[in-house]
Amino acid sequence: MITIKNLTKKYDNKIVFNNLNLDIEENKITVILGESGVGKTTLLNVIAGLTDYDGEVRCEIKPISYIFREDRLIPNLTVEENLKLVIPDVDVDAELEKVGLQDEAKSYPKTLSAGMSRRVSIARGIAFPSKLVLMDEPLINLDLALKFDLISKVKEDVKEKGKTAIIVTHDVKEAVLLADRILVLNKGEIVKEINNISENTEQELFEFMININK
Amino acid sequence: MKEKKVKILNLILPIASILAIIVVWIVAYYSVGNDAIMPSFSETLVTFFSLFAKGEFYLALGGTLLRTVISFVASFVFAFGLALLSYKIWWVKKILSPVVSIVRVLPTIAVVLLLLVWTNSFVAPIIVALLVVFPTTYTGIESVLSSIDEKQLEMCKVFGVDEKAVLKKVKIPQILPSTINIAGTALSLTLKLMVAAEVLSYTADSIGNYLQLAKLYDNTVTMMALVLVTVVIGVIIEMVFSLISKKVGKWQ
Repeated sequence: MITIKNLTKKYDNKIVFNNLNLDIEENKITVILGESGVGKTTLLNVIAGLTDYDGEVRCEIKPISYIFREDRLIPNLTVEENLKLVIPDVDVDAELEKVGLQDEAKSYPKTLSAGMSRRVSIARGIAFPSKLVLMDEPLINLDLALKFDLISKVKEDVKEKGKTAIIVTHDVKEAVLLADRILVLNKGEIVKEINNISENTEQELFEFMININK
Repeated sequence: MKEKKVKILNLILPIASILAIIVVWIVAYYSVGNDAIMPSFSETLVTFFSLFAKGEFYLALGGTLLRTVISFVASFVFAFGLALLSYKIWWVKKILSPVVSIVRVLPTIAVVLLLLVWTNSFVAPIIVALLVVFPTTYTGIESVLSSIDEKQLEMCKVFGVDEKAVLKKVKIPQILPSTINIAGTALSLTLKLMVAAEVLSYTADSIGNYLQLAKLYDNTVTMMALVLVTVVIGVIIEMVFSLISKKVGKWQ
């Protein structure tokens, strides 16, 4: 369980969160949905312990792996070495095959396209033996077919290995396809929570997001 | 096709620029028309090679190179150590900033003269070259260290990569190519300054002293040949360091 109580976070004079309270359940995929700049990435960084804050954040699920918004691949290491840096005993071929990059093990990041780099970053995040996976817009820069393929692989990985995942996105469709639970974040608050994803969820969320700032 | 063209141009252009310098030299020689002021390129080349047949020249060259290496190593270690401290501790950077600025604007000749009062003609050129090269090396290394991507280090922290592996596989490989380039430039600059400081210090067994003696006897061709020796060594140093830098930075 991850418990967030009275979380307050400011960047200079801009308040991102003011007394945010939130519980994240274990073994579920929780999607945080929101427009750009509402603090989705900051929330993940708070959970990962990468930024300071006021309030209480208790994360009992460890170790953590993080698929960052930027790929954060080490440029002087090949794809294979990038994976081995964080998971020394990784089966490189098997993990790269999952993201369709089995021929790129010896490539340096600068030779990869944005989408390929993204896939290496996803492979690293999934392969890491974590209990909690944080994903910041994981499917950005990917074409539609690959996006759907990876959505099923991410879900499969989380469910099979009993992981907990927190995914932030601004894409309603992506949120509905991935989530067990959706939380809509706006102006530093959770303004909507959906615990049962149904056929109508996508439409309901579209309408909600269109009217969110009205 | 375009890549091949670039490769050919990369080879031809440096040769063309060297040939242009030689052409300017030849034009200057014929324009001046006086060997005592402007010796010919061919005569300078002959004198250049004849220098290597003299035992005393090797003594002078060895002395200059020894002082250059001592000065370079001291300045590089000093600059690297302080740049590392500045990178790690913010207030060290604040303290060093004005010191580096002052050292950078020190008038070289005045420093040589003062050092000759305080030390001797062997040590003075070493300290002068060290003082002049230090600020450039320090600033260069400090900026290389600052260029290490904090976000990559953050990623290593989240995934629990141990500090040793981060140093060995992330930090050192990323700063190495630029650091080697900086070292090459610093070493060739040290050599150039060393010869100048030796001229002013009348250092025994040195290229500077050889130049000073040639000037005394109005032997312009030997002076030009000695300049050529310094230039050739400087260029070789920069080329070797640049090649090593390219080799270790093949991922760039």
